[in-house]
Amino acid sequence: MPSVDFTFANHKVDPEVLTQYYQRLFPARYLFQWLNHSPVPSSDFTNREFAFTLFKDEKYIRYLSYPNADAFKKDLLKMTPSRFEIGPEYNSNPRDRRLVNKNNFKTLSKELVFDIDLTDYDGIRTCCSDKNICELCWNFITFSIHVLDETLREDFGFEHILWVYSGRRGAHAWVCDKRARELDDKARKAMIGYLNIAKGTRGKVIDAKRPFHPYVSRMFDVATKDFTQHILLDQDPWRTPEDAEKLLKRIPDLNLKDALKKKWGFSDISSSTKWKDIDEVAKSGNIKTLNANSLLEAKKDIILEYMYPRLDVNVSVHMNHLLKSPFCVHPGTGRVCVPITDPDTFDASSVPTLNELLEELSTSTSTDSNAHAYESTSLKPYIDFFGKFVNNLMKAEQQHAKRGRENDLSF
Amino acid sequence: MYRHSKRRVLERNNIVGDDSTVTPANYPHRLSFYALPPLEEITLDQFELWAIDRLKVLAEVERCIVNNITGQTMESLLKPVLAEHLPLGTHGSAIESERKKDHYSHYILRLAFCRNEDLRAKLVRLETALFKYRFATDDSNDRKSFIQDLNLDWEQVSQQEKDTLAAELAHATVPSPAINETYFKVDFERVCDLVESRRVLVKRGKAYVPNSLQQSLIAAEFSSRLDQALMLTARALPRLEEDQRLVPVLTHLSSGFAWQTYSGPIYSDEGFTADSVAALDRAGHFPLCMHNMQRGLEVNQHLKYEGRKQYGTFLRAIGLSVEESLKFWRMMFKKVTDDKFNKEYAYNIKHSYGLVGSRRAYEPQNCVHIGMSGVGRDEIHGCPYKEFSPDRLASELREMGITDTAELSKIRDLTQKHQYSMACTRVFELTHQGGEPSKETIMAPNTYFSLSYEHAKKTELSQS
Ligand SMILES: [Zn+2]
Repeated sequence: MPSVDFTFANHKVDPEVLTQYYQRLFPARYLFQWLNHSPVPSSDFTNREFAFTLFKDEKYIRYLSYPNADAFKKDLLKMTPSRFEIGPEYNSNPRDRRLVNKNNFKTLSKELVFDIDLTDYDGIRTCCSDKNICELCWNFITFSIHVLDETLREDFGFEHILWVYSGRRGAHAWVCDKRARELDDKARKAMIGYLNIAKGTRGKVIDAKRPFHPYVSRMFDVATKDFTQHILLDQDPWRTPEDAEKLLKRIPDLNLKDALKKKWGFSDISSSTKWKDIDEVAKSGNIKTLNANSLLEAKKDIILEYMYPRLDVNVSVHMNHLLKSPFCVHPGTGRVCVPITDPDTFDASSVPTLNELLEELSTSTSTDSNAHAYESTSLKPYIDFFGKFVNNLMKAEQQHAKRGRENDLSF
Repeated sequence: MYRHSKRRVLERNNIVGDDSTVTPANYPHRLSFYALPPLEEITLDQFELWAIDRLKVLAEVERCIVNNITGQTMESLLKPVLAEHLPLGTHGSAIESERKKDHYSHYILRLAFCRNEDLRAKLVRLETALFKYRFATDDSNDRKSFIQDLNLDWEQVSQQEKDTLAAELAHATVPSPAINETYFKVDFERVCDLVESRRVLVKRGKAYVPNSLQQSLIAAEFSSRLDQALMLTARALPRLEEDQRLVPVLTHLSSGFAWQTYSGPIYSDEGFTADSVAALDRAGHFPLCMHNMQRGLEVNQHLKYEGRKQYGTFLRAIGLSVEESLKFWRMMFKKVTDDKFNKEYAYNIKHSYGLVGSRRAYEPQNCVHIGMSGVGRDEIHGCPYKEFSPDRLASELREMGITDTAELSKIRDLTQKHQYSMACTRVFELTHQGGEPSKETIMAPNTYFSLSYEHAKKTELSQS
């Protein structure tokens, strides 16, 4: 895909057009089922917090809640939020929170969520900066999705994981299993600590004990495969002498560091050559102080440092954190926050924009009722995918409930 | 301990539970999950004293948690406090009575801390930390038999599964456990600390915990059982509260933690000087405890260590600067030479302001701390509502301007029900707001001061 320069893209979202989108395309019913876990409204949905950002003066309204899908859709049309976020389910209706004692208004559940954003890679990616993305840097996101998705399934046993394009530079994960929704903050913090292999608030440093924990070891294996292409060739992060300092900083032996510096001098040399040079100079340079093993381990850390999934910790550790809903329209890019149906082939530049969708609607010859209007647009595969995901989730939930009832009977 | 069929149980002087009747079988181990409630009867005094001793230990535990103190530093801080207030040995003639006190005091705090979620969470956190500390410092044989007797229903990983996962298990925990190590399989949520630090294998939602890391498992078990037990206690509490004498004691115990630190205003911009202290006291801004110490200082030209600590931290928290504080104490200790003052007292004053030594300013003490402090014969610190005889208290109150006999006997009743803070609050209401009831009970001398000082400022404004 060509570089997608979102800064200059003129996608001014028009409130009228957005209202039409909410009216004719937005999958409100699926969204309701997704959060409600059954066709009949339950407290899973009715006590769930929504927060709207209004077009007018960007006003942010929290603690909204709805008795059913229709009421929710009605408010979308009436208030036309430029975007909206989903919060936790509370033990009472968020709209009534002032009626109950503050200490008794508590969060009960929310999907476990993760947020990966390319801005966190700005020290590493050279292809783009700021708000721009291209397929080269999107590889970071793809890698992170693979690592996290596999870990959430294999290590933590979760099954209902929805990946959603954030509309600009990143992706969100919504882990929807009942067990994930009910994790308390302590367990969420534990999971983030487990997944996040870089520690330190200023300048992240890889913190991976040896031997590698099975999770790190699995990540490392995949990272090693992608490292040459995605980092050395695509990003080429150490080409200039100044940039090479970032690499030299991680070399454990002072004499080796000096030898490399001398060898590279003041001209630009590709990162892949520099990476090879490390071993070559180490072998031929006759450096007495050098410990081959610590060099090997340092190189492993470098691979991890440039590849590991960079998570926004705060988004994940608190149950009451709000996150932008799937199928919102990103106000800056006009792109719909669609589910990522296949991470390997996902292409942000082909995600439908609001204007494109409305255009498709107006040229559509179909006379279908509103309920199926989306079928004639490029939003169809995303909504179908979401619908399938929601159905699987509801099925699992029903089985869970049934098992619970049987246990009750046998008691 | 709190059987309701027998109302006498907590009657003073009714010591049925003589320590000599406790058989070792009651407490086979030093550590305990406190699964069974105490059955023997103790006096109301013992009831409160034992609980306060345990609270002192837990306060120290909390200090460690808040300041992130662990390992050896924690041990050096906790060891003396435990030895003084809640010793728990492995052998010797005292172990039965020590274990009994440990057992009973734990249960009393369950009663005091079960009434709301915040208090429950607090007690679980502190008790679990204390348990962990004791577990880590326990004798290894005693620990082993303690664990065996717990009969925990952890799922043991089969040999077959261990073989399949051998490589992963070996890499997950550093240093690698022994080849024949026993592993337990538990939901990962139960061992958050081990998951967070990646010290166990996590697979399909289960954490594989080697025997060598069982401390985490046992602590998690301790904490979840205590959490559940506290919910049950909370449900049973209304019945217990039929015993009128217990309610104030329990409230008093738990409120100590809710008000651990004074967080009200500090008037460091008011320019209080060494000379203002006496004037502020005369203006009625000091609660009786502080007034008592100021008067004692004026009369004796001296104040003993605990008193200096209580009064000094109080003065720091009303906003007296360290310079003025040094001046104040120098001025009051008339009989002491400059040389002696500088050597013996100046350092301590600077220390309490966090200028030397540990560099942590001392927190002012709240009413619970002050109520807990033992008061020796020649000492004048502590809570007067607790320490003074009814007659002495009444004459003090008359001096403060409370002459209404109905009010005086009401305050006397409160002190006899151990409701010292309520008594003090009532005194404030009568002396400051014409008996108009306040919204909250005063739980710290500094709160009394700031309420009084604000009140005076407001009155001044409305009159000018
Ligand atoms: Zn790029």
